[in-house]
Amino acid sequence: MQHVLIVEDSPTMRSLVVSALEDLEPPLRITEAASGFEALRALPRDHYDLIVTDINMPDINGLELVSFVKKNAAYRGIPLLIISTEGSERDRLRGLELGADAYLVKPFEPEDLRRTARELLAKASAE
Amino acid sequence: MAARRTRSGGRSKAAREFVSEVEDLLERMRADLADLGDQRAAGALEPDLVNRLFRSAHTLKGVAGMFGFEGIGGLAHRLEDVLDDLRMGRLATDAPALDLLDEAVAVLAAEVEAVGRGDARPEGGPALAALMARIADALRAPASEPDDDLPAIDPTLLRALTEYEEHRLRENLRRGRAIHVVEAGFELLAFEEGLAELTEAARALGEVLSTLPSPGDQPEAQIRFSLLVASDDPLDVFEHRLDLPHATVRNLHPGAAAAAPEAPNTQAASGGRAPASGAAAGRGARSPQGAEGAAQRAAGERSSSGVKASEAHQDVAEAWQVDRKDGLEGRPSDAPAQLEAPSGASANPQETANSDSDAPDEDSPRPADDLASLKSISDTVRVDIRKLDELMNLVGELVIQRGAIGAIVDQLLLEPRAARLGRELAKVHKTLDRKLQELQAGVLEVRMVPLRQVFEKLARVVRRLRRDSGKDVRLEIRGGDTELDKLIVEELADPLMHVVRNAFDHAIETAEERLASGKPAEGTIRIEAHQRGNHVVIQVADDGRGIDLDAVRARAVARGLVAADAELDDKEALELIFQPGFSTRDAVTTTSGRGVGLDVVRENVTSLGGLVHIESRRGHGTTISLTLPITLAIIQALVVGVGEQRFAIPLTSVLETLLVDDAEILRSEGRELLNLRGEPLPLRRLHAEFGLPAPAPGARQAVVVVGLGDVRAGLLVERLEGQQDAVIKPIQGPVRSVRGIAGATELGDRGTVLVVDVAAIVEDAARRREAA
Repeated sequence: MQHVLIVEDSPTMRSLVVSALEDLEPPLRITEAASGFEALRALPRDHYDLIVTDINMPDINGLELVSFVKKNAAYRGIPLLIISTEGSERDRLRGLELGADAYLVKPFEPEDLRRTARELLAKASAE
Repeated sequence: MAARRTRSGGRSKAAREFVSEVEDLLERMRADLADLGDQRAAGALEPDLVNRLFRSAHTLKGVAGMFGFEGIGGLAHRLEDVLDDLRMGRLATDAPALDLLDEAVAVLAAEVEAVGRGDARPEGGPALAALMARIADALRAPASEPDDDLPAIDPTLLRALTEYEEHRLRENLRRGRAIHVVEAGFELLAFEEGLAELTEAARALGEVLSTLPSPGDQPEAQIRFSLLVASDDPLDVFEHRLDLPHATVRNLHPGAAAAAPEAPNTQAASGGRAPASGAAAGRGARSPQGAEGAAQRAAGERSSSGVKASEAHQDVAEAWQVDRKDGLEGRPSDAPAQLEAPSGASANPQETANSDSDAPDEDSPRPADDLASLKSISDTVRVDIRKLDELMNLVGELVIQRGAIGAIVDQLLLEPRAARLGRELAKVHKTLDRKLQELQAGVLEVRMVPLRQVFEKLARVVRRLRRDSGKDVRLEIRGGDTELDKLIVEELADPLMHVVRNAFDHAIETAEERLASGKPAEGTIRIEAHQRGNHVVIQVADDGRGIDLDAVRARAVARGLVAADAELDDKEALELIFQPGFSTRDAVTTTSGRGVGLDVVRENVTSLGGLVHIESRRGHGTTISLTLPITLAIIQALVVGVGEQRFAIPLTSVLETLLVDDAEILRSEGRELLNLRGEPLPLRRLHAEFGLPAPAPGARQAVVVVGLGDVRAGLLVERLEGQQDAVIKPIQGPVRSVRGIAGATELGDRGTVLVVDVAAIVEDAARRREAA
C-alpha cells in the first residue's frame, strides 16, 4: 500500500486533502503532519511514496522542507507536491527550483489533487 | 493507517473543522491586532507579528475558497493583500491601517457568524462591499522602492527563503545589520528542544530570518539546522554573546552597523509605484514560463472554486449548528463556550507562533514507533466548560468519600482487633489522598486561563472608543499571563469593561483640559494584574481628573442617599459611588451609558468572592482594584463551630487563628476590637452575623483572622474544628440571598455546612469601621 505524508498546518485544509486522497483506488495509507517539524520527525519513521506540503507554515516553511528532502539521500526520490494559494507564485516556483515535482493552487478541485497524486505515485512506483 | 471514510463523511468532518478553525483564526487575529496596536504605541513593531497576521488571513482565504465562500474568501484575500503590503514594508503601519484591519476582522466575524446561522441573505452584506472599497483605496497608497539586489551570499542558504523571508533579509541589510549563520546538529528524533534553545538564544541577539534543516553526519539519526540571523553585533561579539558551545557561527555579510540609521517604514514606503498592480506585474515578470507550464500540466487545468458552493455551505452551516448546540445552550451571552486553548494567548508572540507545534515535545522525546502522535489533528482540545464543571464535581465527591474513608480508618485504628487492617487501610488512604490531590490540581489547572483574553477585549474597546470619541488615550496592559479560573475570567469581563469605559469616558479629561492642568495631552489607562497568594489583584488606574468628592457628597444628598447634614470623611464619600443608582453624570454617554453602575461592578465581583477597592486623588487619577480568588471550585476550608452550627471558612482568606479571653476584647464606640500586635483588628461575632444564640459568656473563644486584599477582620467563634477540603455548591431557595453565606459544602461524615462569604463580612466590617 502506498503511503502519503500530508504536511499542512490548517486542520481544515488537511481534512480536505485527506478526504480527496481517500477516494483513490487502490486505497492509500495516509499520515498527517500539522507542521514542518512534525514532518521532519515523520520522515525517518516510515517509508513514503508521496509528500504533499503547504508552503506557509509556522515553524519551518514548505520550501525549507523541500530543500531538506532533496538534500537527503534517503528521501530524495520521494515525489513532492506543493499546495499553496494563489498569490505566492514566486514561492511556488522556488519550490520547483528546489526540486518539488508539481504544485497545485488552492482552491483546487479534489479531482485535480487526485489526478496529480496518481501521476506522482505512478512515478514513485516506477522508480 | 487512517480509516477510510466515505466522501461525504470526510467532507462533513472538514466542515466541522472549518467552523472551529475559522473561529480560532479570527480570535488569534483579534489578539494579534491588539498586540500590534500596543507595539505601535510603544514604537517597537515586531515583524513576526505582522507576518503571523498575514498567515492567518492567508489560511482563512485558503479554507474559505475551498468551501466556495466567495464573500469571506474575497475579504480575506483583500486583508491578506493589506497585510502583505504591511509586512513587506509597502504600507505604513499607522492608525488608519490598524482601524481598517480591526474593522475587516469584525466584518469577517459577522459574515462567518451569518453563514453559521444559515442566513438566507446572500453572503457579503453592504458592510463588506463598503469595506472592500476602503481597502482598495488604502492599497493605492505609495509603494516602496524597487528591491535592492541581494549581496553575493551563499545561494544554498537563500534558495529556500520565501518571498517574505527574503524581504526581511533585505530590510535588515538596508539597516546595516550583519548576517550570520548559526549551525548545530541534533538527534533526529529529539531536535525540537535543542533547536528551540538555539532559536531563542539567536533571537535575543537579532532577528532569525530562516531555519533551514539539512541532513546530519549520520542522516538516518541526525539533523542539522542553519539559522540565518540578522544582528547588530559583528561576528566575534555575536559568537561570544550567543555562548552555545555546540553551535558554530560564521558570517555571511559584515553589515554596516554604523553607516545607516534605522529607516522607519513610512520613509521606506515613499516610492511612486502602486503596490497592487506593481506587485502583480513583478510576480508575472518573475514567472519563468517553463516551470509554470510544467506545473500546469502536472496539476491539470485549474478551475475557479473547489466544490459546489451550495453543498459546502450546507455542510458548514450544519457543522455550526452542532457546535452551537454543544456549546451555547442555556448561555446568557454568545460568548464562546469552549475553553480557549491557552496557547493562543501566550505572553510572547513568538511563543504563540510556535507553540502549536512545539508544545507536545517539550517534556521528552517520543519513541520512534509512536506513529499515533503524527496523526493527531491538533495539540489542543476545545472543551465545553460545563464538562469541566462536571469533572470538578466528581472530584469533589471523591474528596468527600476520601474524608469518609479517613474517618473509618481512625475508628479502625482505635479498635485493637482491627488495628492491623486499619494501618493497611491508612496506607492506602494516604496514597489515595495524594493521587486525589494531583487529580484535583490537574483539573483546576485545565480550568485556568490567562487574563490576556479579557485584556485583549478591553484593548479593542479602548481602540474603538478612541476612534469614535477622538480622545487621545493610551492603554497600558501588564500581567496578561496571570491566570484565573475560566469561569471567573468570564464573569469578570463585564465589570472590567465597565470600569475601563468609566475611566475613558469620565476620568480622562479632554486634551485641552489636560494641557491646561500641566498634564500630557494623551491620557493613560493602565490595567495591571498580579497574583498575590491565592488571589489575583487586577488594577485599573487612570491619570485623569480623579473623583470630585464634593460633587459626590452633593449628589448623594440630592439622591437622598445620605442626610443633608451628614458628615462624611473622604473614604466614606468614596464608598458612596458604589451605592445603587449613584451616578455623578446626568448625561448618559454612548460609552458608559449602559445602565451599569459601580454598584453592579461591586456586586458582580463580590459574588465571585472578590473585593473592589477604590483610591482616588483629585487631579491625579483613580485606581480601582479588584481582588479575586484564583478558583471557585474546590477550596481548603477551616471548619469552625458556633453552638450547634458549623461553618466553613475558605482557608485562602485565613491569615491566622488566635485564642482570646473575653477580657482581651476592647470595646470602642459600640464596636469590638482586638489589639493584634499593636494594630486594631475589628471583630465580628459569627453567631451575631447569622442570628444564632449567643454562647455562654466568659468562655475562651477563638478568633479567625481573615483578610482579603488590604482589609482584615477577626471572626469570633467558639471552636476550631480543623481543616477540610470543601466543594462549594451554590444554594438554591430562600437561603441563597443571605449576605455572608457563599454557599454550602458537604463534609464527609459531618453533613452539610455553610461556607462563610469572607468578602462580604470583611467588607461590612470595614464599612462599619468607617461609618463609626
